[in-house]
Amino acid sequence: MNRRTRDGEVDDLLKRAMPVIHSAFQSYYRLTEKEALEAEGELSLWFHRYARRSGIAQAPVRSLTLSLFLAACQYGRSLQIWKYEGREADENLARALSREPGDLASELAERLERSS
Amino acid sequence: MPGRLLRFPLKPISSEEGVEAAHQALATPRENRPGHAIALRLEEPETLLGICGLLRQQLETSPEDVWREAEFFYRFLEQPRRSVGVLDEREFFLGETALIAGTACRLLSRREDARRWFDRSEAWFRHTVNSVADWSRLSYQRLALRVEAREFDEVLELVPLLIESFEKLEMREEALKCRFLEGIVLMEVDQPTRAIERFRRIRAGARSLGNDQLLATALTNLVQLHASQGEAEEALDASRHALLVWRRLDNRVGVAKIHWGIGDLLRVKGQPGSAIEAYRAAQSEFAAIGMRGDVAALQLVVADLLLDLGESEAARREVLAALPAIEEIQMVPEGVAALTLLRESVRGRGIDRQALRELHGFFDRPTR
Repeated sequence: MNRRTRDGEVDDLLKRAMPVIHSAFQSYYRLTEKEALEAEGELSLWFHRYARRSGIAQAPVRSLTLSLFLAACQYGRSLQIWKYEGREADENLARALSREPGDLASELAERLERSS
Repeated sequence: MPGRLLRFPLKPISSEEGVEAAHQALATPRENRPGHAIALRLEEPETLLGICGLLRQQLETSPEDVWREAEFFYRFLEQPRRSVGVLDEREFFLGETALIAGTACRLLSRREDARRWFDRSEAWFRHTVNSVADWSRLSYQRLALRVEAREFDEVLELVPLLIESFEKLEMREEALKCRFLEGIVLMEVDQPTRAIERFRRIRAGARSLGNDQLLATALTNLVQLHASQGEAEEALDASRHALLVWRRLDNRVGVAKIHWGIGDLLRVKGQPGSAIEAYRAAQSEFAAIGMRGDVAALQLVVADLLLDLGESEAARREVLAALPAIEEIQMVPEGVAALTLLRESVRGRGIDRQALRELHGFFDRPTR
């Protein structure tokens, strides 16, 4: 597969996954709109590079979906843990932050799968 | 002094700019790089991605240089702690440069160094987003190292598990590379028919994936296998195809191994003089890229043939030239025993033929 085709597939996956990620950032990890948009921009750049890593570069783009959601959940969780360091988060956010990002990532991947 | 460097954020660069920056970084002498780290964009993930790609491409042709370069970038990223990209990127590049350094050490037969680099790689890959994929690539290198340490039972037990892991991750090329290890072990345990069948399947798989590197490697092993069986037509047919692909890939190790295979064929066909010429051609390619283990292995093979030709003094010179490199390589105990016998016999000016053959048996390795 040539580079342009793969980049196109990466863009396509990002386009489909971003609404799900945006929703998780805001409703689950309670990022502000501005934080969520910044996070999505960084995540998008990261994912384009991730898809070109050794070994990963030959794998089909759709097989990278879970990694994308996992990275998103790690990002959202880390940001809020950093922001709330030394302060107490409310019960819902504390529950979200105590949950393994991998669990939520799997749920998000299933949600995307169902919606496609 | 350990610490953490914080910098003003720079505008990210594109992947094309990253490749350009990678070439520029590698063209800059290592000692000048830290002072020009910002100008060279050494902390940019795109640059590092480009550097890793270039180093991987040069692994087989310049393992010594790749080792030094990978070590430089590993140390550069490690201390002082530098901010690289987002999420797991610093950890990924530390794990990846360690993996590349370890792979280069393995190719250079520096097994203890390779193990230490693989341990470092494992520690960093623990923190990557897709650690299963990264660890699987590392496991492949560790298994390749086990093949070289002749731990064949362990390899045959573990390879299917690794293949399953790669297949789950849809990393088909990596899964195919694992099948090479099976084929190599079959060659080593003297099951040429099964090994030929395995490499033919790998050849078909590589063609369907359009992977020239894997295709040429499978063909090279087929050359060696057919040659060892005295199947001249099949060996020459495979060698013609393999040479075309290796030359297209500008891979000197591949070309050297084809010469080696042709040497084996000529030896089996009872043409020792021509076989020595082919081995010498392979030797000079290996020497040019610093693959001391392979040079030494061929010196032992040539010594064996020279003994066949009654040229015992020339054979002795070959063995004496090979010994320093062999002594530097960490050998399995049986290899050490054969080495001791050979060293003693050469000192007594009469070569122990059995020890010579046993020793080159430990080196006479197929292509991975």
